[in-house]
Amino acid sequence: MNIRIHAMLNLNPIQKRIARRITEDGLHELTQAVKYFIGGLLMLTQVDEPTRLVFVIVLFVLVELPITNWFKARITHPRTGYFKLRYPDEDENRLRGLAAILVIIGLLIVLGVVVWSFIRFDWLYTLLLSPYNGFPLLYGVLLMMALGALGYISQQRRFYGLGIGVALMGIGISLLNIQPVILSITVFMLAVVPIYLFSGGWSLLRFVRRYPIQEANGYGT
Amino acid sequence: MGLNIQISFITDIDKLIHEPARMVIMIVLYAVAEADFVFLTQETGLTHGNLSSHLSKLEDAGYVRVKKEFVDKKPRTVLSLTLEGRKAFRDYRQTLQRLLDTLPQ
Repeated sequence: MNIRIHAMLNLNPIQKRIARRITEDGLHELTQAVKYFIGGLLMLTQVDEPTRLVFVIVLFVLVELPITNWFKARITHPRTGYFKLRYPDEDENRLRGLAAILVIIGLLIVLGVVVWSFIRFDWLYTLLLSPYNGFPLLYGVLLMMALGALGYISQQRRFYGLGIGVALMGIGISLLNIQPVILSITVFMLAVVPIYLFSGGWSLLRFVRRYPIQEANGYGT
Repeated sequence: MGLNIQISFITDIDKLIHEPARMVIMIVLYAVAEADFVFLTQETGLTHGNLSSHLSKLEDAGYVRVKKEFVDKKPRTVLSLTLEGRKAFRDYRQTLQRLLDTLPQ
């Protein structure tokens, strides 16, 4: 009994379980697949005017979360329910909240300066049309690191496999020596779409089969 | 006294939270900012009736906040711990931990 109460007082298992719920439905990968597919197609049409890509990137950042939430509300929440993560000690430590707001404001300023410099100095144009072909490798490794972190946080091992697949794709496309940079990145973005689709589609199928839609979502109604 | 246990620790335990089903509800709600009824049913393993009954006790005590809303014309009940509820659960954990620490191995 003593051990059982100790186990109940330890919140780590429940926090890990909740973190797992976030990515269990595979919607993260499916959204990424759509993002890379549309992004890749748009990049193909913008090869002559790469500066415009900044607006494509900003647009993706802005619409990604609302689109994911829209699908979650219709697929995930009726099955496993809705929840919002709580950041540690958010009620107790208001300084942390203030620091987070300052970091966000700082990031927005940096983003603004970067976007402005893209437009003002055209350095993105020069970079994207350069013959350097290591970008898919760099992109793939960065994505692998991000996916590894996501796999660790969410306790979903499939993200490790996805990360390795994406990194290998980056290495392969870099070795193909496609030039200029914008074209090699475009090929990379389109090439990772099937990997993301497979991972997300398989996870979503498993999720839908495992969790039927729950009827009632009311208490006292 | 054969055992070195301070009785005051035992009387300090919040009996409302100490009931197993309510303890599980409090643990889940403590780990999130807010959650709906379906999520709580899944995570706690309680039936709808059982969960409703325990939630109403926690709501009456001021530990749980209930928000009713509509998503796509369907009702959704969103629950979260109040500041009082969070404090009560933290105190409960600390009290229980101190009590367990006084027990012989």
